[in-house]
Amino acid sequence: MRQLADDEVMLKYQEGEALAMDELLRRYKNPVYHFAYRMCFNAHEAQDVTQEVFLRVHQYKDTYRLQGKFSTWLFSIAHNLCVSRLRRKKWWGLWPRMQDDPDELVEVESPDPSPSDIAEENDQAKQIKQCIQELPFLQREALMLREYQDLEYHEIAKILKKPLNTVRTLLYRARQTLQAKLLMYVREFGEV
Amino acid sequence: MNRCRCIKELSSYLDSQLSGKRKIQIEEHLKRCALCSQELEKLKALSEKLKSWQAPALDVSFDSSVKNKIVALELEKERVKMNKKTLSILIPAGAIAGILIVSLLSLNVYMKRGVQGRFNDEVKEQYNAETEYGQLAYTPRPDGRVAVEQDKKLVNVRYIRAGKEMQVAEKSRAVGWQESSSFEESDAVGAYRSAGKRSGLAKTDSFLRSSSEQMPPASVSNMMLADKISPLAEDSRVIVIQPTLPATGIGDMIIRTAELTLEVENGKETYRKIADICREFGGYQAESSFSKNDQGREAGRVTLRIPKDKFLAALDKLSELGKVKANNTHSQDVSQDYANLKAELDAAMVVYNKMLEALQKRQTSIPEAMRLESELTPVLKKIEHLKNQIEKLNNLASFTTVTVNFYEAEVSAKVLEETTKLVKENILAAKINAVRYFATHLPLVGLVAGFTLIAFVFVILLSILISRLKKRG
Repeated sequence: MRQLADDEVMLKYQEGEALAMDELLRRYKNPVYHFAYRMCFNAHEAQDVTQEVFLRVHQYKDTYRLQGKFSTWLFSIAHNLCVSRLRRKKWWGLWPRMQDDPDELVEVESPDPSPSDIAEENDQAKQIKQCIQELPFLQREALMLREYQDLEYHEIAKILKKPLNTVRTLLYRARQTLQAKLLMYVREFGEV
Repeated sequence: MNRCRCIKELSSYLDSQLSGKRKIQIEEHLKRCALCSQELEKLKALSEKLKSWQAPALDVSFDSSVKNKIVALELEKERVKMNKKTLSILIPAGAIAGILIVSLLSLNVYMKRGVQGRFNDEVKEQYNAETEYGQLAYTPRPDGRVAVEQDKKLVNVRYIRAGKEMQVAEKSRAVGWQESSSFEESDAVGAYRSAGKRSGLAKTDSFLRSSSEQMPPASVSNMMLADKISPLAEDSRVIVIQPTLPATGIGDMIIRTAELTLEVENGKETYRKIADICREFGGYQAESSFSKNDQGREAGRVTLRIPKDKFLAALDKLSELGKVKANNTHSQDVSQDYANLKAELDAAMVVYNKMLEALQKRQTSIPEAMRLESELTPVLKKIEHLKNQIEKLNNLASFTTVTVNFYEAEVSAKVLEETTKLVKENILAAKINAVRYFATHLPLVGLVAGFTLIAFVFVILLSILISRLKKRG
């Protein structure tokens, strides 16, 4: 099973091979979880999202078609879940205003970090986390997919459902903004 | 500070997302542009910094919890599928069962009505009964009577209505239309016994005892029934006799009475026909009564006096007016009484004549004449009394008394028609009232309907919203 490509493993799973899910979990649970964590800033929530992603993989296994990479499909599911989670938070009044466009989704207040979150973060990480949180949702997402998942621009475009040039712009802006914020942070609190 | 136009492309260059040609151009530019080179270094440093932010580790039980949830999902799917399957079987099965139950109940009601309406007392085909006197065969006749044959040979046969006489009699009593058993026993023993009783023919107990002592039942019944046996045209093996009046061997002063109970289709029509039959046979109506209950069922009772020689014919004709539910005949031989009365009268007349002769012959004084005359008065009175009694017996014996009770069937065509008409009228009246009500209260009805519709739409929208929220959750 380990020698098979992602699509082949998925096909095996469609045929009813239970071990295929084990292989998929082995390959993608951490990438999806890390992505979800960087979007939700909460380990517990990220775990929920990751679980939900794989449940949906199981639910929609029969509708999966070999159109593009499996990882793209997987991160699309993760993206949709993160967006709907954020929207739900806005709807229940946790955020000052509800926005339909993910571009406009901005976390004004960060969710309470879990004890594990606090324990595991060093100061630099805290800095980066703080600055990333302040990025607009889509910029953040594009940056996370590029920096931590090493996805190609066209894959990111597919996941975010945006044109390629938009993705280039998002990444450029995200980096520029992040650089500026980090600089400001350093000036205020000193280099870590 | 001036910004180079190529700065925007540095991000793509860093991510190796530029085309080959553009990449070379940028690389050439970087050699010349310090600003862009600096910017590129910053981007690389930023990328390095980002990598320092690591996510905490995933729970070790993550894999098993995902698999458990997948299993739970599958079980839920199966459960929903099973429920749908069960419903798809249960609903049609339930519908079919409901239809069957309703049909059976309706059939049961119909059958009950049928039984209540008809008592089902007619023998439809030949059946046999084993008795201590041999096997009896009962064969139905077209006119509804049943012929009885014993051991396939001519026997004392009886006119009976049905094989289940006692049951019918019980039912008849329950209805209240007659008070005594209306049918004779169906076996030969009963036939002999009844014949014996009839040969004695007395209403009073004394007469019954005396007549039964005088007449051996079997011989008398043979003699009696032999006069009445007549072969069937359609079946010479079976002999049927009509219900006979008991006869006596002593004179012909017999008081005959009959009581007939009929179930009819139309009470009024039957009443009229009874009167016609009475006139036809030269009789007269002694009493009559007629009634109609709340459901429209008619019933009546008529007492006729029919000349004794036309009694049987009249009884036959009356039986044809409806379904005979009961047929009682009774005879009382008053010959002895009559003879006694006659003898008494003769004796009284002799005394009277002698006293009168004596009065005429003797030339007595007036007081003596008056004394003799006063002695004659009681004799005269006795003579008158005896004459009256003899006249009464003569009258009773000359005309038979026939009482006809008739009633309409519980479910007759006429009653059904009237009930249907009544129901239709009530339904029409109810419809008219409903229309009137709505017409007068139209605004209120419209308001209520409008509110109901709004509430319904609101509930539907709310349920859609809740289901959508649940899905997201």
